[in-house]
Amino acid sequence: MWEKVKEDYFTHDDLIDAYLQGKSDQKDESKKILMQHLSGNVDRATSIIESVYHKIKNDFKITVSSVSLKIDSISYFEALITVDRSNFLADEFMKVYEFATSIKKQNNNDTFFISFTFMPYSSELNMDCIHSDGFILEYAKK
Amino acid sequence: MRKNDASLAHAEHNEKALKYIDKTPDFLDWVITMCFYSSLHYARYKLFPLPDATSDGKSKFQHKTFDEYSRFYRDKPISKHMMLHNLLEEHHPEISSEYGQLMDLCKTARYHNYKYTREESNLAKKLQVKIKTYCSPAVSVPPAV
Repeated sequence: MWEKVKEDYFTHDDLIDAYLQGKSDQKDESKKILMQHLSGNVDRATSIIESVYHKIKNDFKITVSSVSLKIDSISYFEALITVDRSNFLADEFMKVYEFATSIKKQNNNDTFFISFTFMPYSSELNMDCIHSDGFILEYAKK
Repeated sequence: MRKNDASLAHAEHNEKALKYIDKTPDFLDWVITMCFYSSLHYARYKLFPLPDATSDGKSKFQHKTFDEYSRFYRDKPISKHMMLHNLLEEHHPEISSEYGQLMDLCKTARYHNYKYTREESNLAKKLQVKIKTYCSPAVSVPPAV
């Protein structure tokens, strides 16, 4: 009587299926790691921007109209800070730039980079243009 | 190593255009843009050639121009404008804030529908003069005979 030999080999199809399954699992794993990294960096950017906002408002006594965030990549963030026009035009505003430089120096490295752009407030700001440039997250002031 | 005279020439060229266009109040957005691009080339002139070293510090070399530098660091996830500003913050903090504000004025012009007043363009000109004064080559005084 013949008995079927136990399958202890893989066909080409088995091999390809296993490869695709492994690739998919790895992709999910990589995606998860990237999402964790992004989420951590967004939290970090938010915390930095919050401290900059409070410093400008409370210590420099400058009226901040809005703060927007652009996520350029998983590790690169840009903050757009709109301030009172007369404050922006004053010589003293240079101190805000010096402060922003010090914040960048403290925080930027190979895996995290934040930059700050300041602009004077105007009632005719082109919000469509600002949003289309990627500044789609607006800081809800506390 | 010699300074890059092309950067200086380009800075002066943009400055000439700025003075020409500033005669009327019709192109204040362009006045700001020309202030910025004049300053950008003055900054490049001041910064380069720039000494550098490999990450292990074993080999030292120089970047002759900003283009060479940005090509070398092309893996950095930042724009070339930001790269130049960062270099000023690191090597010439005396003018990095002025450069930053001028860059911001230029960069955000479109958010203001390109409508700027004389106050903004005067600020841009003041910043450009400061950057130019800092970056320009020192005028050599001929020896007394």
